[in-house]
Amino acid sequence: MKNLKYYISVLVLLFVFSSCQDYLNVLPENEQNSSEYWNTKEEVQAVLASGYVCLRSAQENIFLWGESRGNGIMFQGDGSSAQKAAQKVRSMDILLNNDLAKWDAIYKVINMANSVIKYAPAVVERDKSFNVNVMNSYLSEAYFLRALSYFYLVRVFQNVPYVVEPYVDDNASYVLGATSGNEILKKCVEDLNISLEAAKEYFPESDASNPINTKGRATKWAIYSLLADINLWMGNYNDCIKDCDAVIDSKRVGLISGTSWFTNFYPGNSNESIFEIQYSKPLAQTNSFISWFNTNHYYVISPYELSLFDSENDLRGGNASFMASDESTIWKYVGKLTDGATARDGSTENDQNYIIYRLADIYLMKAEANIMLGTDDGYAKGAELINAIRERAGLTDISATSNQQSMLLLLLQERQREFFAEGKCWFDLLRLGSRDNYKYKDILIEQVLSVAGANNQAVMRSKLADTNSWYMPYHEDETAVNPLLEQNSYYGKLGK
Amino acid sequence: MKNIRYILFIALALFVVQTVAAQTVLTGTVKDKVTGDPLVGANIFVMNSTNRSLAGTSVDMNGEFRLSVPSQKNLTIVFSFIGYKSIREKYIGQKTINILMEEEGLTISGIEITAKKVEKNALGMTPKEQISSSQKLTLGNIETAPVSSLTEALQGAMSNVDVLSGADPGGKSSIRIRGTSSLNASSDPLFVVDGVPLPVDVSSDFSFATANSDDYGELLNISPSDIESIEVLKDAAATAVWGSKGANGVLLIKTKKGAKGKIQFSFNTKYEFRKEGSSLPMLNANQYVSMIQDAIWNTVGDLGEGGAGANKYLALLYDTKEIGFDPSWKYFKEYNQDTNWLKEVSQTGYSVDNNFSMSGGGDKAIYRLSLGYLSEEGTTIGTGFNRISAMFDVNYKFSDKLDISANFNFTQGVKNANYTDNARSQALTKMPNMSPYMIGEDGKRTSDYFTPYSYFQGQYSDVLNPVALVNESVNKNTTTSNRMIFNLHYNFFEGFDYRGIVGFDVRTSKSNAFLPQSVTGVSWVDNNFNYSTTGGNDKLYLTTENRFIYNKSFSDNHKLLLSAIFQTSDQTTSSYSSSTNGNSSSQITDPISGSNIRGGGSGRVINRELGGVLNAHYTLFNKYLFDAGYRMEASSSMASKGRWGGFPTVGVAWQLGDEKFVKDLKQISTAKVRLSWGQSGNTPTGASPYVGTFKPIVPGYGEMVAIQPYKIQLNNLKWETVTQTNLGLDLGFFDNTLNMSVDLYKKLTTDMLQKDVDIPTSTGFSSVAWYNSGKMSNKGWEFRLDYDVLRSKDWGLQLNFNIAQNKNEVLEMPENKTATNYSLKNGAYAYKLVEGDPLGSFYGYKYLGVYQNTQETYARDNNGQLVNDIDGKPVVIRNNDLKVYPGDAKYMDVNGDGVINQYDIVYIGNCNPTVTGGFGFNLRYKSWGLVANFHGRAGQKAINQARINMENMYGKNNQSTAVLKRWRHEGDDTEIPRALYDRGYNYLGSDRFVEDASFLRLKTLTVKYILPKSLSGKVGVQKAEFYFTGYDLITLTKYTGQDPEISTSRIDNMYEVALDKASTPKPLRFAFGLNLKF
Repeated sequence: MKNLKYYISVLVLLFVFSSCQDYLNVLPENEQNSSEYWNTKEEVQAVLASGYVCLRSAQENIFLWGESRGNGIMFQGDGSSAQKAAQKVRSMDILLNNDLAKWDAIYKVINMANSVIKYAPAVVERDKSFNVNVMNSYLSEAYFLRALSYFYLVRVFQNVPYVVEPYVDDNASYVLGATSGNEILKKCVEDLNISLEAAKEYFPESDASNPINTKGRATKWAIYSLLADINLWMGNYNDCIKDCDAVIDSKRVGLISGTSWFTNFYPGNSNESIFEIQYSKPLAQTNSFISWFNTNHYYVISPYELSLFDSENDLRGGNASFMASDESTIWKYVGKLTDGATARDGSTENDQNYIIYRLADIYLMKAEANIMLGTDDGYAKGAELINAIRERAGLTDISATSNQQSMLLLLLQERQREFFAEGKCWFDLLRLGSRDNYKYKDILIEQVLSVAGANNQAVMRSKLADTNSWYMPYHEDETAVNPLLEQNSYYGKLGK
Repeated sequence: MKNIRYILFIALALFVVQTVAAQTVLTGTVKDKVTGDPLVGANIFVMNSTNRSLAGTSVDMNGEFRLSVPSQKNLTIVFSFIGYKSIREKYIGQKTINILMEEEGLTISGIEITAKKVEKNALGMTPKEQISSSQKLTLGNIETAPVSSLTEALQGAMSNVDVLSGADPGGKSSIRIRGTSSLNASSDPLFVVDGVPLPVDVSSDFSFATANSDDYGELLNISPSDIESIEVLKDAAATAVWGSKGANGVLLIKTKKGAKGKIQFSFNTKYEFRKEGSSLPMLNANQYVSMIQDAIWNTVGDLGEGGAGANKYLALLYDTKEIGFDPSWKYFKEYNQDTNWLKEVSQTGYSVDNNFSMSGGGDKAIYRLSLGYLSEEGTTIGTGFNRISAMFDVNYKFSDKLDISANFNFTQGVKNANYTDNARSQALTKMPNMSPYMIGEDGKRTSDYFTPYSYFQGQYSDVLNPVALVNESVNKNTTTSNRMIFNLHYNFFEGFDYRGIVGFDVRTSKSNAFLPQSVTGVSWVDNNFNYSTTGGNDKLYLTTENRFIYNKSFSDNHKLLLSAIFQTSDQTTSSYSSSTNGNSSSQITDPISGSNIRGGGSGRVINRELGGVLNAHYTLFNKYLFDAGYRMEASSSMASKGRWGGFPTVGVAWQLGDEKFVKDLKQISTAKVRLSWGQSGNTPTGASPYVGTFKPIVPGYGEMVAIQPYKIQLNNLKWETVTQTNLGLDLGFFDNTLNMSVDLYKKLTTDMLQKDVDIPTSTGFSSVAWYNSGKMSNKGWEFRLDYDVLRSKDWGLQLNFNIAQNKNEVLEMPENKTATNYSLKNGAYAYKLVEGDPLGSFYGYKYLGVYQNTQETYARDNNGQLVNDIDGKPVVIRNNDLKVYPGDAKYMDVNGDGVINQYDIVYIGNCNPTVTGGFGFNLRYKSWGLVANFHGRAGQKAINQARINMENMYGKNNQSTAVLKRWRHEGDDTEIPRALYDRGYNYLGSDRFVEDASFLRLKTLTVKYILPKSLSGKVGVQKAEFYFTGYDLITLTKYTGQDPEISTSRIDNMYEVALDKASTPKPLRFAFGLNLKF
C-alpha cells in the first residue's frame, strides 16, 4: 500500500515532465504562426504577392527618388510628408531626418523576396501539387523583386546593407554594415541571369484585354529589362545590348504606333509595356495620382521640361504628357484621351499603373549602350534607335555625329521627353554624371541647376561639386539603431 | 461492465463480512464529573496509532454508548465533548468503560499560556535557521491601524518596501521592494496567498474596453481583517521558491485560520468619512477673462498688430462672445456666471466596512467562516465601491499522517466610476464664467445641462461637461472572484513529508459604460452620441504545487533539511467587448437593435509556467547554517530554445549569539550573521510574445492574395537575470526586548528585457517585441529596530523604526536605445539613460526668472559684452526660434550662443529618494491605547506637472491664482512670466517646476479603548474594543504640490520619472470602529 503511493507520485511527476514541452507550447489562437507556415504553394505565392504589395507601397518613394533631383517636374504647395521631403532634396537642403532617406518600404520588398527564396524550395516536398518548375518561376520573380529593390537602393544611397536572409526569426543579427553598391549589383546580375531560365514568358490572364498578370509580375522580359538597366549602369555595354535584344526579339512586346502612344497610360498594360506596378479599382487597389498630378498639383511640369516639347508635332507633348490648357496638370496620369478634356474620374478610375519598364526604355538603353561603345558604328546604331522613338512620336530624325557627348545629350533629351514624370529623370542624370570617373559631371550639375532658383545657384553648384552629395544620407533613426552603418562622408560633417 | 459490478459487490461483501467478523463491542457511560448528569451527544472515537479515526459513535439520552471496535493493535478510545476536556483511554480489550468528564474552564483557570509557538516557514524552518532576509508584519500590527487595503498596511511599516498611494480617488498604489530592477518587465512584487500566487496582471498586449477594471487593484479583493500576517521576502535566497514572478520580491500573505476550542465569534465594524482639503485655488470668472484677454493681447503685440498673423488672434479677442460682453447674445447668461466647477463634482466620501467571523473546532476539524461587506462612496460624485466577501476555511485531520484543508473565498466587487476619469482635471481647467446648466429666464439654473458642442475652449473630446459627466455617465464594473485552495499533507515517516497544493481562481468581470450626449454635446450623427460599451473577461488561474520535505536531526549536532518542489501554473483569460452609439435612452447601455454597432472584439490569452526547486539546508552544532538550492523554471512566453532557466542560490549563516564569547556579554541575547547569494529571472510578459506571425495584406496584389511575415519569431530571447547578494546581521539585546537588524545588498540585473525595441529597417521590420540588452544595479542597505520598552500590567510601550537606502545605477546602456528622449516644446523635460547614472534622472533648463526690460533681452557673450549683428544692432536672445520680449521666461544660456535650445539643457534632478523609512509606537495604559505610524521619504525630486498645467497661461484652460502675480510691467517682482496665448516658450521644462518632494507624514493615529472584562463579560462579550483613527493628519514637507507621495510613471516605456499630475489633495480621513469578540 505504501509503496503503491510512491509509485503513483513518481509516475505523476514523470508524466508531467515528459509532456511539459507540449504544455508550454502555447500558440496564439487568432494569429497565423510562422512555425505553421510554408506548407503549401499557395502560401509561397501569397508571400511573393506581398513582395509586390510592398513594392506598390514604396511607389511614392521610388517616384520621388527618381524625380526629386531631376529637372522634369517642379514642386508646388504642401503635399505629403514625402513630397515635402522631396522639396528639401531638390534644394539640396538635406538633413538626416529627411523622409526620403528612409528605406524601410523598399527593404520590406527585399524581406518578402528573401523569405520566398529561402523557404519555397522546402515546400516542394511538403506540397505534392507544387511543381519544382513552378517553384523556380516563383524564385525568379523573387530574385527580380530583390534585384530591382537593390538597384534603387544603390542608386539612391550608393552603399547599403546587403541582406539576403529573411528576417522571419531572430537568428541573423539585426545590425549589418553597408556593402559596396557595385558588389551588390554584381550579385544581382548573377541572380538574375540564373533566374532567367525558369522565368515565365507570360502569365495566365482572366481578362485577355487587360494582361494584369503578365504586365504586373516579373516575366522573363522584365528580368532582361532589369538586367539591361543594371548592366548599362555598371558599364557592361555589350551585355546591356544583348539583354535589350532579348526583349526586342521576344515577340511578346512591340512599340505602339505614335497615335496610340497614350494607351500606355490609359488604359495601361499596353503592348509596349514590360513591367508596371498594378493598381486596380475593382480589386480595391487604388492610388492618389489624381490628387498629386491634378487636384492638388503637387507636381507640375518644369519650364525646362516644357521647353523640350518645342515641336508642335510631338505626340507626347500637350494633352499627352501634360495638359495643354493647364500646364500644371500632368495629363499622363490624369487623362483618358489626348483631347485635354476627357479625364479620369477621381473616385472610380484612380487606378493608374506606375510603369517601371516599357519597350521604349529598352530601345533607348540599347541606344545608350551603343553610343557608349564609342565607335562610329555604335553612334549610327544609337541614332537609329533614337530615331525609332522619335519617328513614332512624330518628330524628325536626328543624324549621328561622332561626338559621344553630343550623342549622349541627344539621347538624354529624348529620354526626358519620353519618360517625363516616370521616375527616371534623376537616375538618367546620375548614370551619365558618374560614368567614366565623373567625366560628364558638369552635365549633371548644369541639368540640375536648370530648375534651381536664381539665388540658390551658387550654393547648389558648390554642394553638387562633392559627388557624395548626389547620394542620400542614412536616416538618423537608422544610424541610431545600427551602429555598423557609416554615414556618407558628405553628411558626416553635418553632425547629429 | 456487469461483471465488474458483480465482482466489486462480492469484494465489498467479503470485506464487510471480514470486518464484522473481527469486531468486538464496547459499551459504557459518559457523565459530568461534578453533577453526574449524562453528557448527551458526547463523541467517542476509536483511534489507531497514527490517530486516524476508525470508528465512532455518540452518547444517547441515557448517557450510554455502544461502539464496535475493530481488532487492531494499539488502539485508543477518545472521549470528547465541547467545553469538556478530552479523555484518551488505551484499549486493551475492555468490554465497558465508564467515563466522568470535567469542564475545560475549571482546569485551566488562572493559568496563562505564555510560551510562544515556534513559527516555521513553508519548508519547516524556524526563523533561527533562516539565512535569508525577510520581515514579517503580524496580525496585531494590521488590526491596530485599521486599513481598507493591504498596501495601506504596508506603507512605512517595512524597510525598503516603498509604497506610494496616489492622491486622486481610485488611484493605484505602486510598490517597490529594493528599487526598480527592470526596465520593461514588471517591477511589482509577487503576492502569495496561503501558498498560492495571486494572478498577475494580464499581459501588456491585452487591451479591451475593460482596461480600467484593475483600478482598485486585485489586492483589494482580500479583506484586511481576514489577514493574519504578511511576510516580505527580499533576497534571492528567500524568493527562490517563487521563481521569476518573485524576482522583484515576494509578499507572503497568510489568512486567518480557525483554532481548536470553543466557538468564537467576532464582529468588526468601521465607519470612515473623507473630506477633501482645500484644493488648488483657481481664478474666478473675472480674473479668468482678464487673464485670457491679457494673454491674447500679448500675442497680438508680439506678432505686430495689423499683420496677417495677428489678425487671427485679434479676431479671437473681439469676436468671441464667450469672453466678450454682449447682453443681446442668447447665451449671455450662461457665460456670465461664476462657477466653482470642482465643488460641483465633489462630495463628502464615506465608507462602511463590516466583518463577521466565526471560528472553532475540535480534535479532528477546525474551521473559520467570515463574511464581509464594504460600501464606499468616493469624493467625486458618481464614484464608489461595494464589496461582499465570504471566506470559509476548514482543516480536517484524518490522522497524524494525513490532513487536508480547503479554503473557499468568494468576493464580488462593484465599482462605479465616471465614464472618463478626468472629471476633476476637466473641472479645474474649465472656464469659470461658464455655467454647467442652462440658465432660465429668472436667472436661476434649470435642470438642463449646458453643453455646447463647440465653444471657446474647444469641443469633445478635448473638453466635456464634468458636472454632467459625474451625474449622468455610467461606468460600472463588476468583478466576481472565486478562489479555492486545497491543501493535502501526508507524512510518509518521521521527518519525511509531502504537501500538495492546488489552487483555483476564477474571476469574471463585466463592465458597462455609457456616455450620454449631455456630457459631450455632440450631434446625433456623431459616433460619440449616446455611446456605450460593454465588455468583460474571464480568468481562470490554476496552480499546483508538490512539495517533498525531508527534515532529520542526526544528533544534536547535525540537522539536515532537504526539499524538492514542483510547481505549475496556468492562466487563461478570455475577453470580449462591444460598443454602440446612437442609443435611444440613457437606460440602455447594451447594444440593442436600433443602435449603431461601433466596434467589438474578443480574445483569449494563455500563460503557463513550470518550476522545480531542489534545496538542501544543513545545520551544524546549531550554530553554523549552510544552504544551497537550484531552481529550474520554464515559461510559455519563451521560445523552446531558451525556455528553461536555471537559477542557483547559496547561503551561510552563523549564530554568533550561541558562541561562548558572545554569551559572556550579558546584554546580547541573539546575534546572527547571514550571507546569501542567488539568482532569479524575468521573462517577457504577454501570451507567447516570441511567436512569429504571418498576416494577410488587404488588398492583395492584382489577383493574388498577399500574406506577409508580420512579427519576427524570437528564438533567441534570454531570461533577464537578477543576481542578488545579501549580507545581514541580526542582534537582540536584553532578553530580545530590543531587536535590530541590518542588511546590505546588491542586485545586479543583466540581459535586461526591452520591449518594442526599434531595429534597423534594413531587416524589413521596424521593431521587435522583445530584446535582451543592458545592465543595471541596485545597491543599498536597510536597518530596522523593534524595542519592547515597557510591558507591565498597566503600561505597555513598543517602538519600531526602519530606514533604508537604495541606489540605482545603469551599468550598461541597452543597445538599440537612443540615449536621449527630448523634443523641444513647452512643458517637456529631457530624459536620458547615462551609464553610471541612476534611472529616473531628468534634465532641463535653468530658470532665471523674468526679463524685466528690453535691455535685459540683449544677448551677451561670455565676457558680458553685448553681441551685435552685422548692422551694429544688439542681438536679442531667442527662446528657440522666437525673440524674447520683456516679461518672457529667462533661461540660462549655458553655451552662450544667444539661443535657448536643447544645447542649454542641464541636469536638474532625479526622482529616486535618498532614504525611505518609517517609525511608530504603540502605547498602552490600562484599557487605553495610542498607536501612531509615520512614513517618510527624503531626497527625491519631482516634476510638478500640476503647476505646469495651472501656471502656463498658454491655452484656454483656467489657471491657478498663482498667475495673478504674473509679470505685467517692468519692475514687477515675480517669478511668473507674462501671459502669452498660443505662443512663446514661457514654460519649457526647467527647474522652475522641479521640487524637492521629501516628506514625513503621520500616516495613522489611533486611539483605542478596550471595555473592561467586568463590564463586557456581563453581556457575554469577551472583548470589546473601540477605536478612532485619523489618516494623513500631519505632513511635514516643503513640496508645494497637492501631495508629496508621487508614484513614478514610465515615459516611453523606459524613463522612470516622478511626474505629479495630482490636482486634488489627499482627503482628510477619519474612521471610527468597533471590534467585538464573543
